[in-house]
Amino acid sequence: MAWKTEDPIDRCISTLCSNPLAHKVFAGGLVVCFWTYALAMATTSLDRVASLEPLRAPLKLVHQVTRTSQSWGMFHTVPEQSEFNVLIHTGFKEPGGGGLVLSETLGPILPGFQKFNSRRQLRYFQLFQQMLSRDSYQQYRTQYYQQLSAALLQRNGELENPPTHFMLELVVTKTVTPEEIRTLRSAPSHSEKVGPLLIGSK
Amino acid sequence: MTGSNLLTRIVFDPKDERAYALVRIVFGCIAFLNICDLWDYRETLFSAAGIVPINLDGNRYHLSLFYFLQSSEAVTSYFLFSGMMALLLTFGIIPRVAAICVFVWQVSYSAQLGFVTYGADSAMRVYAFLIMVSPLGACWTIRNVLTKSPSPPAQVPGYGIVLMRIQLAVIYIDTTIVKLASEHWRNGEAFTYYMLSVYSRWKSPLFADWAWLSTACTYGALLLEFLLPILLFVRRTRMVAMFLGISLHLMIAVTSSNLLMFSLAMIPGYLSFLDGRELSQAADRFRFFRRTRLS
Repeated sequence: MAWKTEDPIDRCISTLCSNPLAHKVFAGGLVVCFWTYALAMATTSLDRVASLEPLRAPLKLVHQVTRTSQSWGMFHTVPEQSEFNVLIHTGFKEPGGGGLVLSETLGPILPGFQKFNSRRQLRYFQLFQQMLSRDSYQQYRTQYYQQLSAALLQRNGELENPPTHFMLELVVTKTVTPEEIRTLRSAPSHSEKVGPLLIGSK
Repeated sequence: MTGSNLLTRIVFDPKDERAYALVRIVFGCIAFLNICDLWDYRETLFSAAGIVPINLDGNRYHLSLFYFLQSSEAVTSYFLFSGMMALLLTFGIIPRVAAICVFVWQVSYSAQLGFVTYGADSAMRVYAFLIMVSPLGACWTIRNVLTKSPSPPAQVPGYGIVLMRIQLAVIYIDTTIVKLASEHWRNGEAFTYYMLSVYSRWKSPLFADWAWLSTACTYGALLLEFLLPILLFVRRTRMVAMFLGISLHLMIAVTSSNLLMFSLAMIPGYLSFLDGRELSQAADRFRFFRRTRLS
């Protein structure tokens, strides 16, 4: 069967397989790999249909080895955020444990404290929506606060009276239910605040 | 025919090399567009100075070149290199080397982005893998075009095309099963939620009023996703299924403000269903169209 190519890797394989025994071994390996991968693909949904875990575990390994692990929910959980924004407020903490006296409002994107548009910049929406709200992403959240703190420290380094604290504000507009939208004519907005956190602390 | 013969025959069943060439060209273009789409994120999500300076996946054993590329310059260089590899794949210049590099790119950026990936990234990673292990043939390459060598298309082993077809079916079967378990898909409200969300191009409370539209679109999409794997594998209904499936993804691209890459990432899977006969018919029509326009 013709399999002509200009590619150096393909030429190398063709040379190796010119020996009949090597050709047979290569063809046999290809058949085994094909069926293993095909089976691994075909069983992607098995755990959703029935409990076939003993078969599923080794086949899942195939996806991990080939880096092609699969899950095809594709909006099975309906999106509820109508707008999503994150703002960074910097300022001074009121004496006696009060709130934050604002000095500046910045965007959350590092480097540069840029703001983002959740509709146009999908990756930032996904990142902040998940990182700031899910317990399982606590380590990333902590790391982000540290990164943010270090960047603020650097930014404010030359100021005479630099702000001492920062606070994150998540402004989320949520589609509660279509019935409520029919009544309210818009999705209700609410905001959550994190902080104030000390700039420069670990 | 014995069972083992059948297993072997499916793997080596000859397929027209143009089928692979078409998938290669289209996938290369889409991989390039995806790199362009990620370009603005390269410093903020991929470099050490970015939002979270480690890979978001958190799995140290993932093969990700971004572990070694921390500076903005190194990340930009890798983006440029990968973009060039995607173009080489499109043009069929050292296609196997280019396919391997594109696959490593897909794995690397997916590992770096971790939970910030979505369906488009998974689909592109899987198809990059399948193209990498498929026979790539030598037709429809830039060299062929420039030398105008009219050699008839060769027959090459069909295992790659078979896997690409199974893959597309798996995507729709899996998503149908998952969605059937969702209350919003079962009661026909999923479309309303989608059109009121950050994904929608035209957000308006009117979508909440038009319950009939939501019911029709939700159930229509679900029914289509359920039927597509069957219709694509039946030769007589294949072209209709391709038209319906690609239309569904075009609709998603049109109605969303940020899901164009997802819609594009699904196209190579559909193209893998075109075989030699259909490609010849399409080529004849194209030639006829060109002749009639020129005359």
